[in-house]
Amino acid sequence: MESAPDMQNDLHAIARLQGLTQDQWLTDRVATLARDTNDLVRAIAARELELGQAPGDFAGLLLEAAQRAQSDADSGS
Amino acid sequence: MQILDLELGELAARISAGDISARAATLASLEALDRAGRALNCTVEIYAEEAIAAAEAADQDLVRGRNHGRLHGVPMAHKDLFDVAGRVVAAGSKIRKSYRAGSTASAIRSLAEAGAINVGALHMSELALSPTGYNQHLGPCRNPWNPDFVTGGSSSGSAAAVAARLIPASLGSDTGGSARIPAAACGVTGLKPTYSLVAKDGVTPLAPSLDCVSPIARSAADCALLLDVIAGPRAADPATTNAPRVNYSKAIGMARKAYRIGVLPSRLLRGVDSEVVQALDQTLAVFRRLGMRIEEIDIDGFDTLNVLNRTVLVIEAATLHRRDLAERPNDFSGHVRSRLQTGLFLPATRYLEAITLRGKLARQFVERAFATVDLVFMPCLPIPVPAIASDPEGVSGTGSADIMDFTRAMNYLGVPAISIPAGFTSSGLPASFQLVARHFEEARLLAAAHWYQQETDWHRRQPPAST
Repeated sequence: MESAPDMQNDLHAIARLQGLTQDQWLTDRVATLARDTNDLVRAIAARELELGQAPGDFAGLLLEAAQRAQSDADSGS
Repeated sequence: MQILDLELGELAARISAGDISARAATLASLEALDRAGRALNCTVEIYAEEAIAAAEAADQDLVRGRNHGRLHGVPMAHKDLFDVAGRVVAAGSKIRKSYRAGSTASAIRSLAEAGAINVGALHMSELALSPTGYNQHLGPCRNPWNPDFVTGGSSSGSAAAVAARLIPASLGSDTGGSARIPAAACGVTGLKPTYSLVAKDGVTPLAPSLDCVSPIARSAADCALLLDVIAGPRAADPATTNAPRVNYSKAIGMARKAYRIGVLPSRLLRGVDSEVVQALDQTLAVFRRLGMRIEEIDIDGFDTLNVLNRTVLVIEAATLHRRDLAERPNDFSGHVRSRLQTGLFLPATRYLEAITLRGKLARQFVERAFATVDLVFMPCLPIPVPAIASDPEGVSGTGSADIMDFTRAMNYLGVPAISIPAGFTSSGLPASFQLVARHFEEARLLAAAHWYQQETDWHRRQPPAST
């Protein structure tokens, strides 16, 4: 676990990378929430991501569903 | 009966029949927005001159036998994030207070082409980032049922104005519950359509992968009418290219079907307030009376999906506002700046993981949740409507667990969901429930909601602060 000063240093370094010059707004709360979210998503991805998955999968799912809905509407079901 | 007591479909029919003039309806809305709307703080801008001119033109055209469409002469106002050519569209913010739109959003144009008259812009949370409706720059929008309580957000003004009978319907937007939560808190009906069913060009984005233009009206039938007008492919938003063309009003008018309705396992309802649970139980009793079969479904909780929604949301929102965060941080209110900044500190890999998993997790959800049922029933707002004083800094919705626990996931999954009035809690504020369907099955969702509203009158109840 990072110490609070280390976390603040990391935060300010990233803030500079993002072009933030007035970084007095950066708080431990922001750092903690970002770190917790990062950890949660990393764990989800470790569990769920599989080879062959792509960002376009969701669009494919929507296309299938749209075609089914159109067919249902056309047939009155 | 006053003009503004009429629901959208009724008012449209009476104007088209010549019983009520578009001018009279428009003047009634303009006056209501100017008086009650300002008292509730839901009015941001009133387009009086243009609206009256459009209403008079609509009346003249009707005399000549030219009906503009299904919303001929009906006054409507919308969340202040829809571009209207020549108008300032500030999205509830100081950051965009000088932004003047060069053209009009497709959704608003579709309403105008169907004859609707745009009478003004309505209150919203700053940049659509608060589920309670908190806005440091504009002050709180007041709930028409009790002005000391929040309206919900971010489509705060839309829900309050419809509930208070200032307008018959409004367009809001929904990224994690921003139309459904205020609709629930104000006792009106709010529909978040399937992702990409309604064009969102010209709509100030919060998180483009999650944002949905969302009708808010008193009834599901009115939401169906609005969806008839705004849904489907639009050239200005290529994401809608494959959207189906469905007549939703016709679908809800068909013979009642015995839908199978899935309820969540009790372990997923542990955090839901007992008064809300009571309203949910009473609602299920109505569905049983309607002949619907109720059965428990086996799904995981929404925690994973809510985390992924929040990740996509804060990173996309931070990307859109990064330059202003660097150059004008003081022009954001504290809670908005804090949420946006969180997105700057998450790696691009987390974002791509969240986006990549969306197809798999949405498919899994649909296959499991709808394995044996047509619709899924759940809370919308899991707690009684909070008092304004309970959220003085606007921090609600910025943490990991919040009032969006049952709404956020639907935006990540892209499925349609509707919030429907279902009674009142002991504070006298509305209670609600939510129905969810498979992608693009809005017709089924609206039909079930419509049948429920034929059996109940919660959506017809009138709040004290109404015209």
